[in-house]
Amino acid sequence: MSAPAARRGTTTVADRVVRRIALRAASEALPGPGTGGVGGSATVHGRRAGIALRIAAPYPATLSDTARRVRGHVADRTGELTGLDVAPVRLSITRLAVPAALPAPAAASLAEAPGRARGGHGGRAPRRWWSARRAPVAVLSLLAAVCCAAVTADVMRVRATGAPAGVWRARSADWLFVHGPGDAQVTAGAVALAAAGLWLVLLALAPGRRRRLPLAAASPGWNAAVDRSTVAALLRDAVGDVPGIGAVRVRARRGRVVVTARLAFGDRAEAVRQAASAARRTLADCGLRRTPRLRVRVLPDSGWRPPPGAPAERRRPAPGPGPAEAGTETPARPGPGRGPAEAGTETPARPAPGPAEGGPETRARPAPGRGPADAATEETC
Amino acid sequence: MLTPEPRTAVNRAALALTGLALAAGGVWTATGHAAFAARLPGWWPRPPAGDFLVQEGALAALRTRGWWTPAVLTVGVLATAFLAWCFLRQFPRRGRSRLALAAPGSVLRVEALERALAQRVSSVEGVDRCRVRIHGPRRKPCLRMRVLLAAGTPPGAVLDALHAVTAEARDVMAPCVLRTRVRLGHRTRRSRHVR
Repeated sequence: MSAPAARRGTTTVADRVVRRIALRAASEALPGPGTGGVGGSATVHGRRAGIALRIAAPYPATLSDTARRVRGHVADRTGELTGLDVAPVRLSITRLAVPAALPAPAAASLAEAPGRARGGHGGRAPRRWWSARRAPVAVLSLLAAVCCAAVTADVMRVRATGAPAGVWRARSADWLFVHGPGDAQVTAGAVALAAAGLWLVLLALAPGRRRRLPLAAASPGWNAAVDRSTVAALLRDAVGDVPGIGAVRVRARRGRVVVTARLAFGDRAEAVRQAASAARRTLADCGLRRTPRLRVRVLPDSGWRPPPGAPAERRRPAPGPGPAEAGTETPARPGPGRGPAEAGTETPARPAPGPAEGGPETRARPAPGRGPADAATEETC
Repeated sequence: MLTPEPRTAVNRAALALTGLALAAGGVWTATGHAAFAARLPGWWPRPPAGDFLVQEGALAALRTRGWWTPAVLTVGVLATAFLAWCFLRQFPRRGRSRLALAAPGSVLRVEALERALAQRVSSVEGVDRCRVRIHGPRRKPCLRMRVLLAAGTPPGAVLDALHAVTAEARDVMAPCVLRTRVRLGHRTRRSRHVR
């Protein structure tokens, strides 16, 4: 009655049917409707189906687990529904679906973070980040490549066309034929080459990345650094917030930070104390691996007057920077009531302003020299 | 501990060797000048006096040989190709766009992880912007974050959250080990006080 199987005809499952089934199976294996974004293709060769899928995986689930689950489910379901042999599914995760409801990453979720270390592992943070020195190598290799290419191309041209060598090459050769080691030009060039070579050796040995300060918070396979300019900006903002402080200038280097602030009004000793403490706090908040030495200087502005209630001895010998710093700091500051002859620089030769010299204005003016109150104008930490 | 930059050792060795060669050659040539030669000890190697940088006769003799020009051409072409390759290698290429997962037959589009992590880091309070790049070999990819802090946020305030994000990333990529390097910066600077 029934014909042999071979003569009963065949059932063909079209590619797009397999594709639809596979896509549906993949969506089943992915949790939630939010993931969406499943795509892919399927091909059927005889009794064998090949499936390639692109999916959006949920974040923060482990991707290899998701991949394993989706592949297994798709292969099982497709095989079951179509009766075909399904070749291993090729899976590509093209998007990670971050749920909007996922809480922002915070310290609370850190308890289980592996390898976390703050301060305790300070010794393990790298002292410096090392530069890959791409730029010098790029410049050197480009220069050398251009020279090589020019000479080779000229030799080729001469050999192919029989034309004379290029003028530049002939001239260079002529120069080399008549100049030797004793020559002044050759010596100058050799000295320049030697200097360039030493510079290259220095580049090879020095770490580079001077503008980044590594942070103390590091663990195996995790480290961070902050830009020096960012530290400077933070210090500038913190010191600028101190009452009475006007313009602030910060020089942040790797080992030493100098904050120079201008005092517009208010008590100077108090401003110095507050500025130093704000700067120290900010620097500590940065969590640098190696905290640079901090120096805070507060210089009175041209319009600064001591507060009326201030003690007398703090009012008169208003502390000023010593001569060593005066060169860099004071020329920009025109003293009130100062004559044109004095305005330029502040040197020890300048007559010290005394009570006989003028009214209260001159008394308020900073005098050179470091009195007992001088220690208050700058704090070194 | 130190996450090494790719090609650090190669580049630095190349620079050191080139620099040493240049310095040695430069110093040796410079000692041919009378002003230097007079002050050097007798054993110091110095270039022969009255010599030239290139001997015209010797070069002319070489040019008569049959093998000279082909040799120059071959060396020139090879050297040019090698140097051009070195030059091109210095530009950070976009890493491979797919990363193989531990599950067989599965790959991850790297950009997908980069985007998800950037989105997570940007949601941290105090972070203004974030850019994430994943480089490196397949077995040990390196995660690089460039985090721009909002004005007035100290780095210490976001470190815990950044740790948390990288811990998430580590879980997501398990069992693959993900090294992380974070560079913190700032974007805007508050204007100076005017009083």
